Amino acid sequence: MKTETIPTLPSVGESETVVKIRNLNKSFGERAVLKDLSIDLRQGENLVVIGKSGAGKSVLIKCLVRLIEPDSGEINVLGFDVPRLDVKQLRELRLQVGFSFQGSALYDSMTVRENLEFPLRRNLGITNQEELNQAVEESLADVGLSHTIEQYPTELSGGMKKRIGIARTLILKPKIMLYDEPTAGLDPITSGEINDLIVKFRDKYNTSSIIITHDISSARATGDRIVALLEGTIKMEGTFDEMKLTKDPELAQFFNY
Amino acid sequence: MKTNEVQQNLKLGLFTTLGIVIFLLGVYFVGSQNSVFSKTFSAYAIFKNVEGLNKGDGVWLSGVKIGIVKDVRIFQDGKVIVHLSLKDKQNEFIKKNATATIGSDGLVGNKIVVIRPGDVKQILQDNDTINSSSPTDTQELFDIAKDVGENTRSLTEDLKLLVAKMNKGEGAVGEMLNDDGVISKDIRFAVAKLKETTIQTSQASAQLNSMMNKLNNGEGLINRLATDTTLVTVFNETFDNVKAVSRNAASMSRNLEEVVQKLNNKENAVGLILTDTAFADKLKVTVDNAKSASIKLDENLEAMRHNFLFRRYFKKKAKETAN
Amino acid sequence: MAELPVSMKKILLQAADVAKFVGKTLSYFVKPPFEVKEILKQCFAVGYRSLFLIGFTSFIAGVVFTRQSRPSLASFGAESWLPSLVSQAVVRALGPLITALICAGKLGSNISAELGSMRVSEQIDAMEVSGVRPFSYLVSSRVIATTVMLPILVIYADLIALFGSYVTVNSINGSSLSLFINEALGSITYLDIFSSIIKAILFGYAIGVIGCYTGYYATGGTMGVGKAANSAVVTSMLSIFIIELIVLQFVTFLRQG
Repeated sequence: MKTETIPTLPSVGESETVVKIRNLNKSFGERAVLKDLSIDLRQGENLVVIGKSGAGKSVLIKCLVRLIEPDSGEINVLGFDVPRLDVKQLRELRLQVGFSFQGSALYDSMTVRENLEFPLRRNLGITNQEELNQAVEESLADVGLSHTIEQYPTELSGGMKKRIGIARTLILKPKIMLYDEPTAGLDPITSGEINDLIVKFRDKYNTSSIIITHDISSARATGDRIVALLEGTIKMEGTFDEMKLTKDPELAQFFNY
Repeated sequence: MKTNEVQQNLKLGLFTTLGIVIFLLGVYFVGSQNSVFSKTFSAYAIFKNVEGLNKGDGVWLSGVKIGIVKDVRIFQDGKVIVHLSLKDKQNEFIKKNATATIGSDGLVGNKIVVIRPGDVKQILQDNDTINSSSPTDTQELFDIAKDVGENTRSLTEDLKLLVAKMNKGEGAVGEMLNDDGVISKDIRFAVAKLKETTIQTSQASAQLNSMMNKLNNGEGLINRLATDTTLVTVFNETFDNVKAVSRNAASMSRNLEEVVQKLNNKENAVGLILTDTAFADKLKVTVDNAKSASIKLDENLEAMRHNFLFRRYFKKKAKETAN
Repeated sequence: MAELPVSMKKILLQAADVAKFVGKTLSYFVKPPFEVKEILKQCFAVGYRSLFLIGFTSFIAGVVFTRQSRPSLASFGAESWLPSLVSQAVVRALGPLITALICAGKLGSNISAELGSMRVSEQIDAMEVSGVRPFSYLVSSRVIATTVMLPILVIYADLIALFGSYVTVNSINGSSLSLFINEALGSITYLDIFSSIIKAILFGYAIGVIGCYTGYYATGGTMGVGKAANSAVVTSMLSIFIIELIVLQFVTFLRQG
């Protein structure tokens, strides 16, 4: 199934939709990055957004947690009317949405343990050291890096940092995960490990995820549904196999690697 | 981990506490130097001219710093009221009739207020006003010296003329100059005064001369300042004036004495000769002039004595005389 | 509204940005919650860790200033004024200025580079989405630390510079410590002390705010971090001299008042 644009998704019931974006616009100066973009994320699915670098993929997910203010459009995440939230509501929203950054964004001045404790202390107000230890250890075990607990981020490889970044996000058990280029700059083997993690967490914690990537193998491995973001708007939507058959020359470049 | 944090906080605490302690000590010491924490009392002095005295300058009693100038304000007729903050312990030494003058604590130093303790029984109370004598500044001193010089010159010329006329036997002076006549007394007073002045003037000029010599020979610190500035020219002019005055005054007083003697001896045709009343008036004015001139000259010398440039010199001189 | 030239608009927007930033840091001085732990950590880094450097430089400054001004006083025969001259110079100008310039170099670049790299590696975004107020956690803790620690460093600098001066005076004519203290402190007034402390507070605030601003809004990757650090040092040094001048005017007014 191929469509040029999808302003609405009639096949999906409202109750199952956790993220609903309608007519989103964002431009930086003269350059329009997102143009009239509409997209839905359903409960429990991994939605992969592929596109060229600089196509505005990161901008899209940053708008979801108000790291970037959109110019216009509707964004509804878990029932929160994102552009119009006050400080307290925004905090509540951000607690339920995990964001895995492209560069993993671990705090350099803290050890792995402190990095993982940070959101627990800060957001959940947990100060009981035993409770903290348990959560940290469990989370690290999830990503298979229990031995790094006392190390600093600079002592870790890119793939390890990425996994710990994901662990730090998941430690709050978010309902929605946003992955920004989770496999960028990693070798194929490490990329594979990350992809496996993404799938594993969806199954284990029943999270819904948006995965931003330009890595087509990652898209295949993780995506239940794939959309192509070209020139600021959604150009095509479908499963990997459907997308692969595209006749669009620009899009075909992704699949004919 | 945790111990590390505790250690850091300990160091930080030590660092901060020590810093604050140093600060407080500094404040305390500065305070004790400026007598902020010790008990103080206030006194006031009114000056015509404070020569750039500032808030915070010192107040000295017998060469000991006993307080600071708290405020300097011009109040009326250009007079300046100076608020002094003095250490409480010292007030028993300052009497009701103490005087305050403006001095300086060195050749190029700050201005200070110098208190002379006074000699009556009652001691100075809080918020009393101390008598003050205004300092004569150097320029004023030189102006007066010049003034006196000119005055005396014209006066002596008049007198010369008069005496010449009298000697020639002109005028109606004789009639007026009876033994107990007012003018006769005036003249005698003037003569006495002039004598005194002459002595003082010649003394002063001799002193100034020797001081100048010393300066030229390079004695003392003041020399460096003096040789470089235009002050020297002014000095020289002043000396010349003073010398001229003293010479004139000396000859004038001799002449006058002669006249008076002649008058007393009644050896005279003078009475007949000095018939001119206009001339008599002139004589009266001249005598008045001579009086005021000699008084001014006195003041002048007294002022010199107090001026800072000469103070040390006069002190030394006084010592020498005492020995 | 008439269209402003683009460069003009940029400058005005930047000015508004700076004003907002400054206002925000000021309001965080009094607005709880305070990041007490973080503030203490920064105070340690700013104050304790700068002590050696400040002490070293101010000792040398005290020695050099004393030796350099001795000949001109000696030619007046006024060598005995050396302690009071040095103490006035140190307390009124040298101490605060040396401390502030050293701190501008050391702390300004440090803060700016640290925050800048956190910004470009998305650590600040990560904090934001994990529900921490990065402004309070990162910026105001640092600004508070520099503002509070600078005056204390200035006190140390004054003391050590005077000590350096005493050592010099003592080595030349063997005068006693108590004479030196008497002479040195006798010429200092409360106005000198408090104006120098106020100056130090302003210097500290300026260094903190400028370092944080340049770092917090750094863009353009690692190059941007370098640029931010550079502009932090240059701007804060410049503003130190401007503050010095303004305070001098103000103090002169008070002194005459």
